[in-house]
Amino acid sequence: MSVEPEYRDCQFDVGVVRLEQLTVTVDGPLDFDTSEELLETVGKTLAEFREEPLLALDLGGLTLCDSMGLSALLAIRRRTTAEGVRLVLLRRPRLLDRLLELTGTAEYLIGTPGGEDEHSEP
Amino acid sequence: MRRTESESADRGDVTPDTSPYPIVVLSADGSVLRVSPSARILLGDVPQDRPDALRSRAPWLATAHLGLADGPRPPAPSAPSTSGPSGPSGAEPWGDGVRGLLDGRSLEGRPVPGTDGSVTWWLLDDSDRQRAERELARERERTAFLAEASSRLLASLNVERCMDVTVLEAVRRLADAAVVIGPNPGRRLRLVSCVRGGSPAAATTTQSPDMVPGLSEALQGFPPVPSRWINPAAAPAWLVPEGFGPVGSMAVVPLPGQGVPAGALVLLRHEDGAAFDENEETLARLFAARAGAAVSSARLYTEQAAITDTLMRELLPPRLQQTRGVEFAGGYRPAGDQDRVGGDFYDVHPATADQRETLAVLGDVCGKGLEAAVLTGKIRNTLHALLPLTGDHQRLLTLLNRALLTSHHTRFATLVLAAVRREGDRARVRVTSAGHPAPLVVRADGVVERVETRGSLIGVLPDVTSTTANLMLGPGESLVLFSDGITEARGGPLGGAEFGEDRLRAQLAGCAGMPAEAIVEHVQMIAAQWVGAGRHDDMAVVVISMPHGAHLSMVGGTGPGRYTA
Amino acid sequence: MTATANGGIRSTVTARAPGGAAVTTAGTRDWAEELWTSVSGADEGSATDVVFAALESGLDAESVLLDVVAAVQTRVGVEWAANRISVAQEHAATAINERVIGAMDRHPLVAAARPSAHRGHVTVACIDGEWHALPARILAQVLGLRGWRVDYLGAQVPTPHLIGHLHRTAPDAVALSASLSTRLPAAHMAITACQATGTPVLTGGAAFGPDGRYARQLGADVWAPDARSAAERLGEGLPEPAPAHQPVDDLPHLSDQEYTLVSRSKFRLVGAVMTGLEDRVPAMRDYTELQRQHTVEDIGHIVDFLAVALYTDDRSLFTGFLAWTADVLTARGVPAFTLRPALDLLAAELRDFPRARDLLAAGSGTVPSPPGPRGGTGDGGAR
Repeated sequence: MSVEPEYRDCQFDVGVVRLEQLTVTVDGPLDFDTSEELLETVGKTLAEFREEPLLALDLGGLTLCDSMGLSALLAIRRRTTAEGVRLVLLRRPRLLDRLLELTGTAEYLIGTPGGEDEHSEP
Repeated sequence: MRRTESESADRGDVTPDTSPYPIVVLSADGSVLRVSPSARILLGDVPQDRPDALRSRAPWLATAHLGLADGPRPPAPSAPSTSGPSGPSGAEPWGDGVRGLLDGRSLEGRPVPGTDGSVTWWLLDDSDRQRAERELARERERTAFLAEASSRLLASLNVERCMDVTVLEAVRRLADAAVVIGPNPGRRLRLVSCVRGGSPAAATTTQSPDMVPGLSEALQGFPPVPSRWINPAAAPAWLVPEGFGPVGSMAVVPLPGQGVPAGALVLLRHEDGAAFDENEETLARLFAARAGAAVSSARLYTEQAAITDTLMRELLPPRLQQTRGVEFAGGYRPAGDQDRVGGDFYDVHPATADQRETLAVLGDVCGKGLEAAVLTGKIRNTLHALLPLTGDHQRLLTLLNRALLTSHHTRFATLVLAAVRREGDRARVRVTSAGHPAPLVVRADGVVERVETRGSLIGVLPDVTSTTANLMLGPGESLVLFSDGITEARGGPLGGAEFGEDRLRAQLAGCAGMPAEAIVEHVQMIAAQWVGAGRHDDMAVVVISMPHGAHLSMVGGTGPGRYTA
Repeated sequence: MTATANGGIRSTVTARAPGGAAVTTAGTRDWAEELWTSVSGADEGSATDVVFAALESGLDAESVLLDVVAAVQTRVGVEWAANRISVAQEHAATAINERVIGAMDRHPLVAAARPSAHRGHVTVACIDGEWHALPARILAQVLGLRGWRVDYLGAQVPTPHLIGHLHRTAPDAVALSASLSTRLPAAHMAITACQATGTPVLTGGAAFGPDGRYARQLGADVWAPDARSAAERLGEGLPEPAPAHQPVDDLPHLSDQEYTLVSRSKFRLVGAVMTGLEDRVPAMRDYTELQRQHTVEDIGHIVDFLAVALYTDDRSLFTGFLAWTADVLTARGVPAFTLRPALDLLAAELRDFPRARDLLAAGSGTVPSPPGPRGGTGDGGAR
């Protein structure tokens, strides 16, 4: 639903860290062109760390999320649920909370209907 | 006249007796003074000292020689101080020389004045060069013809136009009349014919191609029958263009397609014209190869386009019009200029006897292009089936959600439902958003309000919720449904800025009382100007308006759709 | 400098419908005046009544289209250009005219007069980015009334769609309409693309100049000043289309890249001028957000017209636009000399572009000077 603007820095990075919890970090825009990469990384990560009870997505570096990005987040949620893994979306930028709120997906993705919780960025 | 430095340089140092080149020296009156051995081979034995000796063998040379006397004579070579840098002998060619035939050879004679009033004629045998030049010119002309014909043939992807161009090009260079016969899957033959100077005319016939010698073979892709084997009198009347007269010669050439024959080309010449020689038949085949490729590319394109059109028809947005005194107008611009469909969609389902509200829907599925469009088709069909449930938006959305839920993917749709029912000069509207940007209402006084409705997107979540807003539209008031392709359009005079809901609202404030199509057009224009030449997402807008005043004419908004294919 | 409230500057001339000047014929009633009253009052019903009455009084359908509807549309354009109606009002008036045309089609007199299609096949379309569809619509109607088979593709037709349509349907000719001068480069691309399919191109609309000079420059096969002459030219048969070529073949000056570079750096140029203006014109610091927005839009239009003047290598396109903008500003009580610092700043940005510099110098010449030696908020030595 959103289009990648040309002016903006289009660097997109996905990284995996395992400290206290298994964390996938997302940097850059999550859209038509990049959401597939996130899905693949999450898929591989879940396959590799099977016994892990929790997967965190660190979205502090997210600059844009369009409908394909949201679709990817929904797919990740569906997958973690099926595998009995808890999903947490960390450091969510305001733009994401607004999108979750508008589309009625906040409760499904983060457990609170209002679209804001302790993991929202101010 | 071509001449090289070395030519003029050695010319000065030779005498007629030793020259390897044919030389004949003539006195002022035309008598032969000396003849080199090689010139003797060319000229034969020429009696000397007789002024008319050359006239019988090479009249052109004799005439040219006498003609020299009338012209100005160049400076005598005996004055070396004035002869310039051209060499000690001063053997300058004089004038442009002369050309003529001798025993079928082409000779060029170049005069060089002697010191005693005599003239030395150098005879250059340029028969081979002439032949080569003729060949080259012919080859160039053929190449130019083929190149020009190719570029005209390649210009169009339309079968009829390609066939027209084929006959036009054929009569330009190859024949007095040309007929293209299309491949023959059914019983009818399709032909396009053209006479030189005329325009192509199309026709069909039920006659058999067997009536034309070589035609059936050509249509089946067999090698062509040489023209000389074809009796032109055998050309049937249906083949020969009207008024052409008796056929003098005829060639039948296959049009090779991409794997299958693309048809055949028949070339006709008048009785008084020359028959097709081998070179011309070769050229005709080269031309036919290009024409055949063009015609079959066009045929392939046409078939593909027809398939696409058929599949696309269901996916194109509909034309909207006034329904029960309420105006509906919609506009759509897909993300790609090449695309005709995309992820946004809208529909208006007019009220029926069973269902008293008109339902307008505008939605957006994630993704773009044909893939997204296919999902919009599924949603539109499902919604159509659920129309009897329009009365309860929440129930309709729940069923739609259930129908679209699939384990394969998480592609979702967001949409807005607006159920409209006219009450006098006003309209009662129930509006429900399913994860979609809330519509805006333009009041008669220019106030723009956001409709208070929200709900979850469709197609992914196990359960969906929604809240429906109720509102009234008075005369001159409108409800504007739009996709986020409009509000999230990036551009503006500085580039990169989001159009945003505020700008949309500001624009709509000036649209109070306007007809629905005018608002659609205005919003589309403003958004397109904002984007400029930049990229954009699918953009859709639907406007529902209560017309001004009580005048309810029969005039519907059946103008041209904003959507152009 | 807040000239154009709603963008959409289209041309230094007015929006001319193909009907040309408002001519009124037939009878004692001034139909165009009556229709204008209805249209400007946004009264669709009475607009339809006027047109039906004109038809029933014996005026033929073509005259109603050209001398009544098109004449009113011309007046809409004049009113807009003179800043007496807004872009939104213009759209409303146009929508009513569109509906009137649709209603006319269903009138029994028109239906009875319509001959069967016997003259050939024409595609009518607006250039990509061109929203003023009514002139093209009226041409399509007139051609239909004269017995042509017409495919009317409407406003803003992306060139790939147009070319696909030509391949699929192979019309005898394509008629392209453009009102906005800034669409000339797009028009050029469409014209050459149509010709490359072997289809002759007829052009019309205000963008091509009152004498059609830009149509000739861009290699259109035919230009017509109005729908009547377009129909006549089509009736005479069109020439072979120009052979396939590239736009730069028509306009060799484009190889100096000035047009390309100015269009591609539009956003940067507008930004630089805005920054510079804030330095030079102290009054701008107190502008409201809306005033700033208008100023940015105005500068965007100046750059657009500069680009199209570079494209056509025609200075009058740029000076004409500036003269018009100056008039609009003056009408709005904004001193027109405030355009000058913007032109100076652009000239400074484009100092390596000789053609652009010449245009900007000529442009400055058309803008009034600030009054007196200390003149207003102009470029009075703010640096």
